[in-house]
Formats: sequence, structure tokens, C-alpha cells
Amino acid sequence: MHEYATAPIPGFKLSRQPGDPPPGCTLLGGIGLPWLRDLDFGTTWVDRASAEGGWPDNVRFEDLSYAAHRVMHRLEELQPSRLVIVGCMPRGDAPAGTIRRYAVADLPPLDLVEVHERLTEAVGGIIDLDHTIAVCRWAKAFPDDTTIVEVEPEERGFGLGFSPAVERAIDEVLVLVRRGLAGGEESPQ
Amino acid sequence: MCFKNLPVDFDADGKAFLKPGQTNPYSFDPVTSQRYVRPSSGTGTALADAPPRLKEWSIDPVTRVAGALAVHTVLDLDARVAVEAHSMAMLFRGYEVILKGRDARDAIDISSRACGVCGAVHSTCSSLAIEMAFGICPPPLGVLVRNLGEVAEMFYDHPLHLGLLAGPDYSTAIVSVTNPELISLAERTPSRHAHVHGYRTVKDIMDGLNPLEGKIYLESLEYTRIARVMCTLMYGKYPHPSTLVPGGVSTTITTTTFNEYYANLGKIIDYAKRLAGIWDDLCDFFLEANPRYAEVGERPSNLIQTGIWDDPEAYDATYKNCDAWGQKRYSAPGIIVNGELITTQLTKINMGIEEFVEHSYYDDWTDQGRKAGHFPTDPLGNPMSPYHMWNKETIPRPEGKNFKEKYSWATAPRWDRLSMETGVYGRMWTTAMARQLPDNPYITATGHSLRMVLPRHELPEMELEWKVPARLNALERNRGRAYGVAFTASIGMINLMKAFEYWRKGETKVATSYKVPQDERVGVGFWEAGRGYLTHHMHMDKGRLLNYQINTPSTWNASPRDPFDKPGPYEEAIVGTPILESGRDTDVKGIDILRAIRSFDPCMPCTTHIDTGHGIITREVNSCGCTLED
Repeated sequence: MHEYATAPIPGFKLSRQPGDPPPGCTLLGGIGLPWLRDLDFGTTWVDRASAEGGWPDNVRFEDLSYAAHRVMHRLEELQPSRLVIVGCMPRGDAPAGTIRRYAVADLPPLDLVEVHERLTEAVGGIIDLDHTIAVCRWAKAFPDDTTIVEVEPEERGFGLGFSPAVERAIDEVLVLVRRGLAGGEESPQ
Repeated sequence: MCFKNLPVDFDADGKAFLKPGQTNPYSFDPVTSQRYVRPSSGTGTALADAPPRLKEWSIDPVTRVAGALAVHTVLDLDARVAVEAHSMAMLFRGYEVILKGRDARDAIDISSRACGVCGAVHSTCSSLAIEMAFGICPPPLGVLVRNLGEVAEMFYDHPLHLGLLAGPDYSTAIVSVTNPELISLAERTPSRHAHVHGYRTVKDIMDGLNPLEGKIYLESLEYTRIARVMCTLMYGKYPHPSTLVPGGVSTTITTTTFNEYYANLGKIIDYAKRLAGIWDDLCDFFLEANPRYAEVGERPSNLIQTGIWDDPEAYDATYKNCDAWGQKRYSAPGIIVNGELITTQLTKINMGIEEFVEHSYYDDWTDQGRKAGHFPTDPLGNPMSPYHMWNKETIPRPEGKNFKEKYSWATAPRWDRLSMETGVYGRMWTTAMARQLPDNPYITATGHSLRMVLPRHELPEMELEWKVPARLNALERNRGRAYGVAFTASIGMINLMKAFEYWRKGETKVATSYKVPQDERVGVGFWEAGRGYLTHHMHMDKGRLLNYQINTPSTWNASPRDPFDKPGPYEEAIVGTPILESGRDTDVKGIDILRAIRSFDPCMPCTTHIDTGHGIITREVNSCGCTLED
């Protein structure tokens, strides 16, 4: 498979901004679609998790609700050593509120045609967890230790607030992520 | 004479008036839409003698464009040409309705979300409309920071389109399937600009455009990173900046901000030098290999541009003076009809615009022009059509889904009832012909070209000349877009030097204070997106929006037929496009049709922004054109 050449522009230095965490942090990122009820889970979860406190010192939070290639660029700037992305994806194969946790390293090999299609959608402004996973895997922008935690949504209409099942999942995901970071979780399932 | 079709004339002082003696001057009788009928080959020749092999061919969705676009075409396989086209915007949203009744200032942040590619153009356009309505004007450095942000945003749009969206249509991966004979020719064709861009042959360029692995493809993706960094310097945050405010920007600017911007602009300047050479070599190769590539996506040279990048000493945000400050813009507003510049006055551009819905999923709010609009004139007394955006009502009606009735969520904007196209090449065209650019060391408008001096960075100083094309087609749109990066970079240099001047003089204020007026006001933002024309028309009272209408470049380009059965620009560009693929009819991939469409850089999220009024639609639904009735 072709290897994406990071930053091939001569002389270009990755832009790190004041307040950016030091390289090697653990990054908890959320991907959500604002005002679309359960689909905004990732963004809201990161806000709540950040506000709750009690996280290890090297943990940082970031709203990653932007297009896949922009997430790719941002991760290349932040250079986390560990990444957890939280989101809500309608897979339709489980009841609302079901939590799925999986390691990116365990995913099947990338289909490059699919990556191309997802990337061309992303550059048109589409924000989508699967686009982000595909593009960042292709670009090798994820750290080796990258875990996705996603919730099956129920309400996907316009508006604020989660369905009861997804609301309940907030605390469950908090527990799951905390346990994972503490090393109490064996392999993602 | 400015208008040939509208009922408007001008007196000796240039003041517009409605031609007398007409009860309903803007009314019309709609023309029934006709499907394609193959002409007879001569008197007495039965059409059935040689039955045409017409093939309906739908592309839904059109990939490698932003948003949901479908195109339905009819191909004549005997003549190997597209003979009919319908362009269908398949997605609809709700910005006009969402904004109604809100605090006028909300429009800046909300309208930004109309586009996931270039939200800041909407924020800026909205700021301009609000400034006009509020009667405020930013300080000069505020105008310059806004200009520099918009320069940066174009550096996101153009490279992406050339590298990731349109570029692959000319890649080895695609051409080896559709026209393998061109690959061997490209291998034998040296690149004329190899000394600039480093690609020895045209085949090397085509390899560079291969998806996910070609160097040009990957490089364009990387340059969007630089664009984002530059945008963030000016806006604080990107995409969807929150620092654009009525009367300027709220960004904290320091000397470092400008210095960092300058360092990144230098990289873009070098990239622009290479990009122009790459696309010159590629376009020339195709045109020389087969001159019929000039027919791909060809349509009349009718263009509309609203202009962008204000002169901080000229811009006063008033409608009264918009002709004067519009003509001082670094990219000129203008109307081009059949290749000739008709006007550069924003009032005449504004006066001539109507937005029809005959073939769109909306109801007509004017009784076909017989019902007068809320504003029969603009604030200066110039006549306005009831179909003008200040008079427009958004009444969704997704019924009558067939090509004779309604088939798109896009409306049909027209200027002087002509189908107009817009794009980065359009703004270069008006700027070249208008010759109104202020003295500067970087760009000269010659009347038929733009000469640009790109300063030394890592590559030496270089002069580029973009010439107004004799024919407007897919290749020239892409060539123009490549030169557009150089044009934009030159404007970036002019504005950055001016910003340094103001900074040195101590004029560092970037925003002005304001009070929200409580009386009835109107405003319009004239601006441009990467793809060209952009307007936001607003009407407010007691600080709240009574009406807000967004009209975008792809609304013009993707428009369906109008009430006079004249097709929109995509449709015009497709009809007559030859099928130049070398394979058999059964192997036709439609690459030339796709090249025609993609050359416009379609952006459908911007194009359609309404809701049903009975609930907001949040899912897009694509349907094949074949589900429509004939």
C-alpha cells in the first residue's frame, strides 16, 4: 500500500498553537454533529468529561468535529501517543444506547477506493466518524494506540438533548474510558 | 445599453427607470419545456431512416463534488454527443427560514454553516450586509484583515479542487481507461514548464494526479493545511470563524500574526508558480491532442461576478456608494455577456438579478411577475423585479417532479434574464477587462489578460500572464482556477503590504463599535466565494430579520431551466459536449460529461438552503433521475 508522505512541503513546520498539549499526551476526542440530537454525542461527551475532572495529568480533550482531513492535520500537529475518539454512529445492528469499543489496529485492511471516496466527501465539508477513521488510518495520523468508542443512536432529528438510552450511555462511556486509560480494560470489544 | 430583456432604461444622467406603458413590466408567459427531438437530416428524410441511438444516462450522485448533485443527460451515440441535460440539486436545507425572526447579528455565525468548504465567505458576506443595514464601516485594518482571511480561504478551495476533485479526471488512472492512446502520447510529450514544476513529461503530470498516491494530489491536500493555518491567523479559528463581527473582526492581531502569514504566503506563491505551469501543460496537451476537447463543457461566455477584496480607503459599506467602492475592489465586480464587459457597477448588477422557480421545488410568490414586490425599487430608486432577492419569498413545494415541471431544489437566478456562470476565472476576466486595479507592483490588467509578478521565495521571481480565453470550456475553467491561485496570492501580497503600512502608522484598530438600529433597514453583502458570485440580501426591523436570502455561485451554475426554457450553465455546458472516449459505445464512462460538470467546482451545500416550513429536513435523499416522469 502507498504510504502517505506527511508534510511534503519544503520548509513547512507543523503548526502548534499556544495551549496545545505537549507531544505524547493522551487525547480524548469527540466527533459530533451539533443540533442533531444523539448524533452530537461525541462533542457533548468530551465537554462533560472535561468538566468532570479527575483525569490523569497527560490527558487532553479536543472537539474533533471537523472534516477528516482537518482532523488528520490536527493530529499530526498534536502528536498524541494515545487516542480515544468518542462518537455516535447509526449501524442499525443493535439497540439504541449500545456501546461499541474497538481498537483501530484490529480493523480490517483499508480499501483505497473507499478511502478516496471518503476523502473527497470530507474535503467537501462532510463530518463523519467513518471518514475520519479511514482517512487518518491511510495517512498514518493515528497513534498506534487508538480506540474508538461509539454509541448506537436513537434520535437523529433536529434538536438538542439525547434520547434516554443515549443519555444513559454518557456515564457508561465515562466509566469505560477511565477504566481503559487506567489499564483496567483488557482488549477492546 | 445595459439591459436587453428587462423593462429598464436609463435617462441622460444614467438614472434607471421602468420603461413606460407596461402594466406589469416584469410579468411573462412561461414557455413550455421541450425534450430533445433529433432533427431530421433534410427535407423529406424520414427520421426513422436511421433511428438515432439515444441513450438516457444519469449520474446520481455526481461524485467528487461538494454535496448532492445529480445530472440526467441524453447521449446521441451516433453523433457521440450529449444532446440534453438536466441538473438536479438533490438536497435542501433551511438557512433562510432558520434566520427569519432572529437577531440580525446571528446571521454571521449561522450563514457560515451554509458551506462546509468555505464558511468564512458567508460570514464575511453577512458582515457586509449587516454593516450596510447598521450604517457602520470597519477601520482600514479591519478591512485588510478580512481581505487576508479571504485570500487564505481561497487557498483552501482552489488547490483542493484542482488536486482532489477535478484533477483525477486527467490522471493516468482515469485516462488509461477512457483514452489509452493519450497515455502513450503523453509519455512522448515533454512538459513545457518542467523547469518550474519538475514534471518532465505530461505523463508525469498525469501520474501526479492519480488519487491517493500522485504527488500533485497529495501536495494539494497538504496545501490545505497551510490555508487553514493562514485562516486561523486572521480568524482565530477555522473553519467557521467566530471573530467576524459587524464592523470588522475581533481577532487579536500582532506583528507576529502578519509575519507568520507572510511566511506561509511565500510557500503558496511558489506553489502558484508550479500550479500554473502544471495546468498550462496539461490543458495544452489535451487541446493539441484533440482540438475537440475545447467543446467539452463549452458554453457562451456569460459571467456574473460581485467582486471581492475591498480597498480599505474606498469601502464605506453604503449602498449609495457601492458602485464607487465596488469598482475599487482588487477583484472587480462585473457582467460579461458573450465575452464582453457590460458593466462593473454593483447597482446595475443588483438591479438585473431575478430568481425564478418555474422548474424548482418552490411556489412562485409573484403570480408570474404580476404581483409587485415589497421593494419596487432599491434604496437609490432603481427599479427592482418582484423576483429580486429583496422581494423573494421562500415557499417550498416539492411537487410536479418531472422535467417539464419541477426537478431541482436549486432556483434559477438570471441577470437580464440570461443564464450566467460564475467562478474564479470569471473574476479574473472582469478584473482583466475592467482595468480598474489601483497601482500595485504585483498585478496589471491589460484589458485582455492579467499579468502577475510573483515575488521570489524559494523559487525565483516569476511573471505569469493569464489570458482571457477565446472559448469558455472545461479545460479553460481549470486553467483559470490554477492561475487563480497566483492571482489570489498577488492580492494577498498587496493587502499584506498595506496592512504593514497601517500597522507602522499605528492604525491598529480592527473593529468599530455599533448599536443595533431599531428601525426598518435593508442591506446587501456583495462578496465572492472560491467559486464566484455571492450575495446576502437582508431586510430587518427592530433588530430582527424579516427576510434573509443567500445567493451562491453554485445557485447560478447549477440552476435548472428558467421560465423561458433556457437551461442553466451546467446544462448548457453538457449539451454539445462530445464523447471523446476512444472505446466502444458500450464502454462509455461519461468522463467528458463529468469533466464538464466538475470544471465548475460545484458546491451543492451552498446552493440549496431552505426548509419546508413544516419541519426541518436533516437527511439528504438522492434519487436517480430515472424516477422522474418524462
